[in-house]
This record gives sequence, C-alpha cells and structure tokens, in this order.
Amino acid sequence: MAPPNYSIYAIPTFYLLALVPQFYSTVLVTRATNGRFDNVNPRGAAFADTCRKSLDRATLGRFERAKAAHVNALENLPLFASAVVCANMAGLECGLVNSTAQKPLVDGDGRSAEAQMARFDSHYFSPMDSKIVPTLFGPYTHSHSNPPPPLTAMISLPSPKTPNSVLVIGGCGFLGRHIVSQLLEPSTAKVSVLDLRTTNNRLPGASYHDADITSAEAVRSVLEKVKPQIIIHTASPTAIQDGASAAQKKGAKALYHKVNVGGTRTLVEQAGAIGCVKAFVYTSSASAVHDGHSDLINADERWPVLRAPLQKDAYSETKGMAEELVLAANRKYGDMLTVALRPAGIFGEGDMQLIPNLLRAYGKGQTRFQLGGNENLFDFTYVGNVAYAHILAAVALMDTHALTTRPLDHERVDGEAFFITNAQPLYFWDFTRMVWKAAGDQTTPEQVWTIDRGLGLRLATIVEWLFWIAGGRTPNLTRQKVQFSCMTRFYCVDKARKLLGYGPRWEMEEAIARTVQWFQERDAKDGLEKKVQ
Amino acid sequence: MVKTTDVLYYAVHVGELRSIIQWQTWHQAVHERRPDQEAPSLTICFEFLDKTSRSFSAVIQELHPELLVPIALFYLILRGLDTIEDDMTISLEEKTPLLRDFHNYVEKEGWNYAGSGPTEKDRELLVQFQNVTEEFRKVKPAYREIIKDITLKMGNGMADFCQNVEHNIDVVNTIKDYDLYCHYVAGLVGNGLTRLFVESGLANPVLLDRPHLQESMGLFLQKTNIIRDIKEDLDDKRRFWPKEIWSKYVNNFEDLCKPENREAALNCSSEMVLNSLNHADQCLFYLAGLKEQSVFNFAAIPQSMAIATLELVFRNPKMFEKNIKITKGEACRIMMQSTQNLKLVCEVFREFTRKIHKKNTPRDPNFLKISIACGKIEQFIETIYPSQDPKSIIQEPAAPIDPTSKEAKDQAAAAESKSDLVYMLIAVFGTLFLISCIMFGVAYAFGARFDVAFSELTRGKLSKPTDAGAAQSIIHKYDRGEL
Repeated sequence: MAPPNYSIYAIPTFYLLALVPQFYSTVLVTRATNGRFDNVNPRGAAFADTCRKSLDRATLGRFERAKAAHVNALENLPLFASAVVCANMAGLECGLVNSTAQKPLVDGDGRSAEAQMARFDSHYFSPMDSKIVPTLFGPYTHSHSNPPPPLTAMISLPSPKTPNSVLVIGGCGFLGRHIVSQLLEPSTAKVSVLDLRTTNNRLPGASYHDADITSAEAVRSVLEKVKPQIIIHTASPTAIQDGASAAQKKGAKALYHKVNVGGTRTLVEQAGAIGCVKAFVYTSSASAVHDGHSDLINADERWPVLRAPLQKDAYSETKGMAEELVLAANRKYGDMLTVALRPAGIFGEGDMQLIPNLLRAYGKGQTRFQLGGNENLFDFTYVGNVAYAHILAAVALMDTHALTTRPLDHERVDGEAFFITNAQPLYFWDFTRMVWKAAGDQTTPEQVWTIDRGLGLRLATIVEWLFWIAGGRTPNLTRQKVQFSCMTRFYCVDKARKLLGYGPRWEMEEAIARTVQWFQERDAKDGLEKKVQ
Repeated sequence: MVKTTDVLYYAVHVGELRSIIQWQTWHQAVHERRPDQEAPSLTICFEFLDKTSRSFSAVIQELHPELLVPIALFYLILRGLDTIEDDMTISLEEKTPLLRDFHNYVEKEGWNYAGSGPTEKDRELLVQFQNVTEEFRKVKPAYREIIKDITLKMGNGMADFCQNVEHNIDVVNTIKDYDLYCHYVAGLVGNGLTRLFVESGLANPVLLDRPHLQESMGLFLQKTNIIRDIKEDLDDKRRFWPKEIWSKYVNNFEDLCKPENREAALNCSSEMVLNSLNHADQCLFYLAGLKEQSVFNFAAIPQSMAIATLELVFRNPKMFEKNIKITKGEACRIMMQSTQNLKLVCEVFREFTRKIHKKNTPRDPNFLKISIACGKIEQFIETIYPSQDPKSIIQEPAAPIDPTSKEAKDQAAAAESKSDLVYMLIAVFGTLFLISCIMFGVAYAFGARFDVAFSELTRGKLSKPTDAGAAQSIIHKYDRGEL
C-alpha cells in the first residue's frame, strides 16, 4: 500500500500559517496602543505614517517584520504550491537522489567485510536494515572478457626464496577480496584472511580464519597460527545509510568506535606483540579530511584530519582516529612499519553502495534528473586500483624494512598517509551517466531536467519538513543529498605516485565497463536462479 | 569596411561589441616598434609581416626590442618555406633541394626566388626575399643559429612529407604520423621560440629541459587549426586528420562532410578535439615559465584562441559545412584576458573547458575520455592556483568582541530578530495547536469516536471504510471488545 500523500495538505496549511503573522501584527499593534489603534484603510498610503506616529520603535519594527512575514508567505504561496505539485508530478519523493547522492556511497566506505556487517547489523540495527544484505552479494567471479593486466609484470613481493606470509584482515569484504585476489596473482606470497565470517567470497589458494578483531584473544590465536610478515587491515563496518533513525545512528556510532578504533587498536597491539610483523597497511578513508558538506578541492596530505566538531560524520571521524593510531605505532613495536591509505569513492565488482544505487536508479528510470550544474569534480576510485595501491604500500614498507638506515623524510613511506584515487577526477554526473550508459541508457543531455543547487536545497527543505510533520521519516530527497551531488571533492595523489610508484592499473572507462558488466551478469544469474526455483 | 551582418550581430551581442571597443581603446602595447630608426629593408620586412599574417603581426610587433626583429624574421622565413612547400606548381625535383637547403639561402646576400606559381598569395615575399636575408645577417649570431637550425629541420621534414605525397603514400595514417607532421610544422617552432626566449633571458631556462612542453605549445595550436579547417582542407584535397581516427567513424575521408554522416563525423571530430585537448594543461605549464610580459602575451594569445576555437568546433556540425571561426568580439575579450597574467589565462582555459564539458554528451563514444581530459585541465589549474588552503581549514579561534563595536551591536540586533523569530514561531504553532484543539473538541462534542479511529490507525488502516455499514460494524465490534 502506498503511503498517503501528505504533501498536498501542506498547501492549505501553508496558507493558514501565512495568516498567522498578520494576526500577530494586529494583536501587537492593538496592544501597544491600548486598543485605540486606527486600523482604517490598512493598505492605504497614509497607513504607514499612522503606524510610525502611534508606535514606538521596537513595536514598529516587530509590526513591520510580522507584516513582511505575512506578505512574504503569501507571495511564496504560489511558488510553494507549484513546487509541491511539481515534486509530486516528477515523483521526487520516490528517491530521485537516493541513487546518486548517498553519503556513504560517495565516501566509498563500503569496503568492509560484508559478512561482518551482516552480523553487526543484526546485532545493532533493526532487522529492516539487515534484510538488504543478502541481496547485495553474489559470488565473486573472474568471468570477464578482458582479464586484468598481469600483476607479475608490474610488482611482486620481495624475497621470493621464503615466501612472505600476508594476512588480510577483512579479506572477505569488498576491497579485501580484491586485495586477496591480486596477492594470489603472482603467487609468491602465502595469503591468509581474517574476517568475522569467512563463508563468502573465498578464493582458492588463501587460507581463511574466523575471528572478531575486537577480541584480543581471537586475534592473537590467528596471528600465532599465521605468523604474518605483512598485515593489510581493511575491515570496517559499513557506514550507515541515510534515513536511519536516531537510535540506529547512535548504535552505528558505537559500532564504528568499537570496530574502527577498538578493533584497530587491538590489531596493532597484537601485531606488535607477536614480533614477526614487518609491515602493517591500514585502509583509512579519504573522508577523514572532509567534513561531509563543504567543497574539497585538490586536497593533498597537508590537509588536516578532522575531528568533531569540525568532523560531523561519526564514521569518518573513527577512521581518522584509527589512522592516527596506526601511524603512531610506526617503529613503536620493534621495527614494525605502518602506513595508511585513504581511498576516495570506491566502486567495482562486489560494490554494495555506489554502483548498485546507480543501477537501481537506472532501473527506476530516474536518468532524466540531475541535481546541480555538474561542474563539480569528484574522485571515484576503482577497487582494483585501491587493492593495487595496498600491495604497492606493502612492498614499499618491506623495502624500507630491508634498509639498514632510515630513509630521508621526503622519501619516507612508513608512518605516512596517502590518498588513493583513480587520478582522474570526473564531473559528478558524468560518472553517473557513464555508468548508466554502460548499463544501456540512451538519455541525451537535452532530455535531462536540471534542478540547480539552490532550488534543490529549497525543495529538499520543504520535503524534509513535510516528512517531519508527517511522522519523522527521512525523505529520499534531503538537503544532505543535494549538497552531496553538488559538492566538489577531489584529491591530488602525487605523493602516492612519487613514493609508492602508484598509478591506476585500470583506466576509468574500463573500470566502469567491467563493474557494470559484473553486476549485469550477476543479476542475470540471480534472475535465472529465481526462475528455476 | 563594415558588413551589415556584422552590424546586426553586434547590435544583438552588445557585450562583444564592448570588448572590441575596450580592446581598441585601452590596449597598450608593452613595447612599441620604432619605425623611424629602422633600415628600409626592415620596414619592407614588417610590411610583409602585415601582409602574410594578420593575427601574428600585431603581437610580434609588440615584442620586446631584443626579440622583435629575430622573431619577425623567423616568421617570414618559415612563411617562405611554407609557401614553397604548399606550391603545387613547383616540381618535386626543384622543390626538395629548395626545402632542404633553405637554411643556407636565408643568409645568402641577395637571395630571392621567383619560381612560385602566379596565384600563390605570398609569392611576393619570396620574390623580394633579399630584404629578409639582408636583415637576417644583422641578427645576433646566437639567434641566427637557432633560427637556421629550426629552418633546416623543418625544411627536411617538409621535403620528406612532399616526397610521400608525391608517391601517393598516405602521410597521416596513424596518430603517431599526425604528431610527427605537427611536430615538423609547429612543434619545431615551439622549440625554436623557446630557445630564443631563453637565449634572450626573457624565459626560465628550465623550459629547455622540458621538450614535451615546447612541443605541446605548437601541437595544441596546429591540431586545433587542423580540426577547424577540415572543410577548407577537404575542398583543397588535403587531409591531415589521421586515418587511425577517422577510419573508426567513416569509410572514406570525404564522407566526413556528407550530411548523412553528420553524427559519425561529429563523434570523429570529438575524438580529434580530445586528442588536442590533452595538450592544454602542458601549455599552461609552459606559460608559467615566461617572465617578460610581451613574450607572455605573444605566447598566451594564440593558446587562448586555440582553446576557444576548440570549444567552438566541439560537436559543432557547422564545421563540416563552412569555415567557422570565433567572432571578433570574443577574440578581443580573450586577448584582453590573455595579455595580463597567467591566472587570467587559466580562467580563460577553465571557462572554455567547462563549456566543452557542457556540450559533451554520453552518446559520444569519447564522452568519458573528454570528461577526464576536462577534469585534468581543471585539476592542473588548481595545482598552480589552489583555491583552498589547508591551513585555513583549521578554524581560527574567534577574537574577543568589544561590546561597543559595530559587530557587537550587529550581533545584538541579530539576537533580537532571532528572538522575534522564535516568538513568531511560537505564535504560529500555538495558533495551529489552538485551532486543532478547537476542531477536535467540536468534533468530540458532536460525537466523533477518536478512540475507534486511533486504534484503527494503529492497525495500519489509514483510509476510512467505504460504506457506512462497515463503519458501524467496526464501532460495534469495538464496543463489544472484540478487537
């Protein structure tokens, strides 16, 4: 059953509200003049003069403001009414922006172990959230027409005589799985995975261990079994979706803190204590330096990691705290070296936020809307490139470890943070349109209805307000989403280029094509399975 | 001579007219030529400069006195070389040695050449070339060597090119061929000019260590002109678009201008634009190395014009119908912005980059690549002129406020209007609440069953029952406690 449409009632309500300041002004004036106020011909030219004479300054000010509020409201009524009608006709509430402007989607923070997320979800969130989880993950396959370039040609882990043991924390997650897959490519390393639940996304050749990173004993027992030289820590709970209730937000905040900060602390301490770990690579987030709403233009590593109150997003804040923890541990535990990578806007095969949301919007036929002028550059990063950067970082740490002297400051990788992107900032909606095009969309720019930022914000305000009146649900069009799709956010990755030798292995075009193809193949398979059942 | 169409155009485009007037009135040359102190042969050279090039003549004549004559002569020499190369009436046997030895002729006293075809528009320059050689021999030896070296290289490149054309080899097959051709006709000029700038101390010597930047300066201009002149070149049976690109879209080069292939031709042209656009950021990089204003103007104006032209031709079907070019008004505006500093030139680049991005369409197979190229230019501009400073992100502590200051008063006023707003809101919601209470009260008094309505609502039934009987039965049930 569709929910009743409350927005139409907003129009008469608006009108009634518009009358209120008028009453107020009348009351004000009558009281100020002890009821002797001459209210004859209130719209006449002489009226203002009468007011000025008979009222003191403060009251006059209040009176005029109230009058102005009344007139403003009446003037705005037609605009408001048509906005509501337009919004209804255009189907805005049905989630126009939902697909593209989701906060977590843009952050690309969906690199968590999804198994972990599923479990935490059922613990901390209402069952409503966890029901989406099983649908998000199909089996991960390499059935692509164009295989990735051979990794061996570009990189292999050092000291091949005794293969390095690499432990990937969160290796069953979105990003983790790509890291494991790339580590297995040249197969010079012994690859192990630690994750909360390791039933999904297993790859042949790696060994899998179930453990909760917030438990010191569990972590220690796995570390003693694996004895890793390299740890790559990518585990993190999924950033909460928009539209969560206050209680969910609070629960999520506690969870972020527990897993991101507490879990990372446990890992660092245990890895340091065990003695065999030489390199510790942590997956931070590019959003650690971003407050979530203002523009971020060509940011590099000089930008400060933000804390509350500047950092409004709990997830990003805990990522930043964990990053600081990891970097502070550099050379603190014997000669264990640490590094943090900050990827921005991850997408790719197995992605659970960015691409699925876009494809859902395409499925709903929402390709003809655009929020903002599309002049805002944005960084989207292919997951394969992020995984590749992790391996480069691990190699760089191992190289540093083999040195007898400490590297110079400007050549140092250990104890440093690096932004990782595709190094190809794109106009926000160009990326979106390219994904839609790869999925088969034929929309031309002439058919696109652009809502500029100001109008979008006003509409969102109205819609949010109406939803608030109607019972506190979060609408699909929110100011935050409008801000997000109109925001500039791109980074400079020169430091990673210079010190890690990083450069994207997959260009944007190929990355989008591979990703969309993967989703379409998966959906086709799902469809088939459903039919069989 | 003013055309009626122009008058009409500028009557509508007042902004452009304003640009023209401003440029004509306010533009001041950085350096001015001193015709009274010039030898007669030099005056003749400048007359030729005016005749052979309208666009370059003005900027050359404003150059720093140190480089004025060398660059003017450099231009005329290359123009002479180009005239010989283009001339189809000269046989290959005669042409090849002329081109390959041209660097020697330029120093030869009294050398000139009268063998050009009668219709060749710059024929007269070669006929009276002794004026150029005479002046050239007065130029400083260091500059002379540079100019001769470039003339030699370009002459050889052109001779190779002519031989290939004669033997009917398709000269621009691959993108590599295209780059090589552009290298000979434009990249070398970039190299020569850079050496002149550095030699005279008017540019940063680091530019010499970055040959790809010099190359980009030339290639960006040349490639843009090649794209713009497609119609004209095709009519003259010349083809410079590389086969590697156009063969993806049409079977024969001539098909590009056929109306039925318009969409394919547009996609083809956008790949050409993309190819050219990839040089843009390096051109800005190069311009950052120029120290002297007149040299900067000389180098920046053509580059700004090129990006504007690129924007004009991008996805513009008219380019296949006629020769298009930017309007004079726009040109004047761009020239004004390009003769000040690099920051304004960057603004010009950003403006036209965004315009290109606006015209970009997902139907185009090069859509994403063009978007990336535009993003790359914008990002590069950000690296030289950052619009954000990481230091300012950390908020500065607010300074204590003096209660008597204007800010304090403003704040008090703001606080007062804020409290007014709160009162107003309270009044609004109070009224709403009151009215609601009254309405509910009246309804209650007349016997409304809110208890029933509420429990039905909590069970998720939002619409009222369709007929009165159903409503009655619900109430009935309710009163009996059957729910």
